[in-house]
Amino acid sequence: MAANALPAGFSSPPAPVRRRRHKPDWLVAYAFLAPAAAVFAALIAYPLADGISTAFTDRAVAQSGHWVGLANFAALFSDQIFLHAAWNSLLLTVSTVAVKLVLGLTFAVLLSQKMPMRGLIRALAFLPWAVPGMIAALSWKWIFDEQSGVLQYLVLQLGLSDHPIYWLSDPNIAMVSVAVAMIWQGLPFFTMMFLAALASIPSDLHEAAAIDGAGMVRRFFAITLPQMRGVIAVTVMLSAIWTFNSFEMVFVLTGGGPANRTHILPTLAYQYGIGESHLGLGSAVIVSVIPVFIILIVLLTGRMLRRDEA
Amino acid sequence: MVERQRTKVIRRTITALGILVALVWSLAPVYWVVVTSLKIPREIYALPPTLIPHIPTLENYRAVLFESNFPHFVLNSFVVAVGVTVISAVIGALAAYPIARMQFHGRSATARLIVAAYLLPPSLLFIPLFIVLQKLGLVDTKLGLILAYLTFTVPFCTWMLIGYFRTIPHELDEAARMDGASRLQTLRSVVLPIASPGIAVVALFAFTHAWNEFLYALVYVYSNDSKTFTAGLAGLVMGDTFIWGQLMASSVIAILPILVIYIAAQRYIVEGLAVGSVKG
Repeated sequence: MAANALPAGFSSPPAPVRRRRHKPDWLVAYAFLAPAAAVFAALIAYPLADGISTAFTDRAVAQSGHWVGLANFAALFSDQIFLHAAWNSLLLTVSTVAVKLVLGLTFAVLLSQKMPMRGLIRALAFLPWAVPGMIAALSWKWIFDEQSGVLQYLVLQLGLSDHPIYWLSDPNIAMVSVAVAMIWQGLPFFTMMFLAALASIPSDLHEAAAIDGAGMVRRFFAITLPQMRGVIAVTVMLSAIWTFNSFEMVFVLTGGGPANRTHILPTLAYQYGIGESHLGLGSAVIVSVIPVFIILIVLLTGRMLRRDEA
Repeated sequence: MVERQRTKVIRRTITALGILVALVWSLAPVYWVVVTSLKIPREIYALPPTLIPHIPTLENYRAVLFESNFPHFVLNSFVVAVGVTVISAVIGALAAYPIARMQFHGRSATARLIVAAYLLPPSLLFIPLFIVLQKLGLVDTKLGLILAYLTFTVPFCTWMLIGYFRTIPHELDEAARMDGASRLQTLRSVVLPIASPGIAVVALFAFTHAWNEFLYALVYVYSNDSKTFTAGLAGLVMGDTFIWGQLMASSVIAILPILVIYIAAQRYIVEGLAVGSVKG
């Protein structure tokens, strides 16, 4: 603009000494973001799009497939194994998240009390969080072992049952066993999140209520819980995503068996896509749940960013 | 007063009992792994099971360390995890800085995308990523596995570091900029040194994630040369017989590095969880 405003024939003076020795900020910003953008584009966005389109093909591991429209989805929705796996996924997620929520609140309140060696006790209570999922799964497989497992022995010995219990080979019981192991693994995350939230509740709120004569239980429901609402929501949603997708517990404990009765969607996607080399069908299993994740992720993203900017 | 005293005692007793239950619940499975790893086969399958090994032995450890591929798998895990940690800390720091500090178009959309990518579960990506790695010829290589882990650790590190960078006073960068430092110099010599505790925590999380991960390892690497320990353990489990003593000894060996990290950084881990909602 400024240059255009100069009268014709007026030779512009030599470019002034540039005060800003730096490149424009936005250019630098994009340059800094470039490597992350490359990872995102090549390893997340492109594969995701490719995976979605694969769900509409009969692609196998060794060959690129043909477009088959909705055939994979049609096959899935008349496939008892798929429907059962979807149901198992839902049941497992809802039940374990609910139990983790209640136990996590309880443990957090317990661990927030004044006590000797509190740091050590907390560290020990959080230990399952530090155990690699694969190893957590292995240790529970050994505990649930139907011949030599310690649980079988305890249950028979304490007279809780007069016959051996098929912890992992009775499909109904196996889902409960898997849930127990997943609760063990996932509980410390809830406890840690809630402990941090408890610590951030101003103590004068509690003191004021105590002076007004509110008992402990009353204070918990009237002050503690409402103050923790945001953290509880984020924790539950995060855990729901992770639980729905946790693969190794089911894979190691039951492998989806017996008779494919204990599959969850991720293990079924693995079995169809990789185990049976039918990438199209495996992708379809995954694509069928993507809408649920989009909703959860959008909800959570908003919440986490708001908290981040606060 | 007496009443007060009594409720206090009751409250303390309930708390103590509750904590005892919590500790037994958390520790018993880990204890059982360790004890089993120290037993001879006959005792492992003996009824009643023994709470403390009658004939303690390191035989399982000897077998795992000197007669199996397990040390090699652990080494592979280590190489992959270190690679992932370094790459994602660098990319994450570079990406977090402009989002925390600079004005540009699409800043909030970028932040949103990063959180969304971090939340994207591996089970959605494992099949399509397999196809990508296949095209790149990187199936069954450590490099391929590293690339796969970046899908989680890069968004994660970026997001955590945005939070850490925001805690550093703006005036410090501005002073450096006035002195003529470029953005890259400012990041390197002002922001990074101050944020180094945060970077250390983020790096530990990235390492732990890569160390523990199982699904990608199971699908993308299968030869002994590139298998990580989680995939290696799966190979042992999928056989028909379980050598529980050796499996448990392997587990103890594989937990150790994470346990060291966890003990050393316990305080920061809890803080980090509160800041960034780290995967549990």
